[in-house]
Amino acid sequence: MTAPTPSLAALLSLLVPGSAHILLGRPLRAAAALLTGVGLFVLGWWMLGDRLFAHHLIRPWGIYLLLPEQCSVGVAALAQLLMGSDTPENLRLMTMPRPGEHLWSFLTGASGVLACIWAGDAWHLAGGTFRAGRVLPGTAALVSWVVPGAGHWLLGQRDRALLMGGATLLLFVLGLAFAQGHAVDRVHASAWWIGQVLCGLPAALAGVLLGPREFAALPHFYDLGLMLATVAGFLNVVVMVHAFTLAEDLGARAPEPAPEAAA
Amino acid sequence: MSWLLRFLIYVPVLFLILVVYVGQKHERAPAILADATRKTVKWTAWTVVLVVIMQAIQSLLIE
Repeated sequence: MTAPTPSLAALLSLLVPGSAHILLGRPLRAAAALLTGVGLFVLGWWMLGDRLFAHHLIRPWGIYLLLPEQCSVGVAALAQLLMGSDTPENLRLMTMPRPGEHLWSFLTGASGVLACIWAGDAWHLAGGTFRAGRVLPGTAALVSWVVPGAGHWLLGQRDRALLMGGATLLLFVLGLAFAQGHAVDRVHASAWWIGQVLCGLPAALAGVLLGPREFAALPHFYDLGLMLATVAGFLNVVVMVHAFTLAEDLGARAPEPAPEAAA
Repeated sequence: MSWLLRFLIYVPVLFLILVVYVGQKHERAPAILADATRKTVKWTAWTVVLVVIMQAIQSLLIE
């Protein structure tokens, strides 16, 4: 079987995370991509059902295309095909809160972000420029998503890790502080959450631990907090993409392994 | 919100964003911080100019 081209590998990976990695002969990464890109979505969707889409009952339908889940194209499309019809009864059920929905909806969102990262990883692996012993670009981007700056740390770029990751985290924490902990809340601020989920573990912790807390009145700087936490999410995309390209550059510059080492 | 408070929030946030931006170009911490500081001063000055122009337009043409 011939290996897919980088573009085809990325496309396959977006459709079904892990499929391209199987064709590229990377079974462990394929399993990880399948578990995180599809498994997390299915788990969250199983717990939430159509409630998953209730946070974004905004017309026109274009808003659905912005959901991070859409990056796991195959499974997200399947979920929407199976979604109940727009009857008043169904819509009423969709708006009913579910226990643990902050956690489950984070998992579905995370599956989309991870599907994107796996697609980038498949694209790079299909390019065939990988050098053994180097950090793969997909790995650098993945750990950068989980903890901003961790990808640079893994690549030995400690100053960049501390400053770029630290600035992103500090902005996120400022957002939380201004919103008195309520900045990350998919139920009440779902559009902002789309950007915030790009901050990985900090967004998960804030959303799951602080998101469900009741608040009697909106904090005075709630809007500012929402915006800063969202900007932090988008800044983390810069950090992730930079970690990815840096790993590519460092990998390309690494010397070819000696024949005996390669054997 | 007072202008001073807005300024006190805006400048550090701008600095943090610029740290990430210039971090892509420089590898060492002193270079990143120096470039981010330089750009923060520059963009703060441009922001002040923009705000003054907008306030002038509001005073002259809108109010």
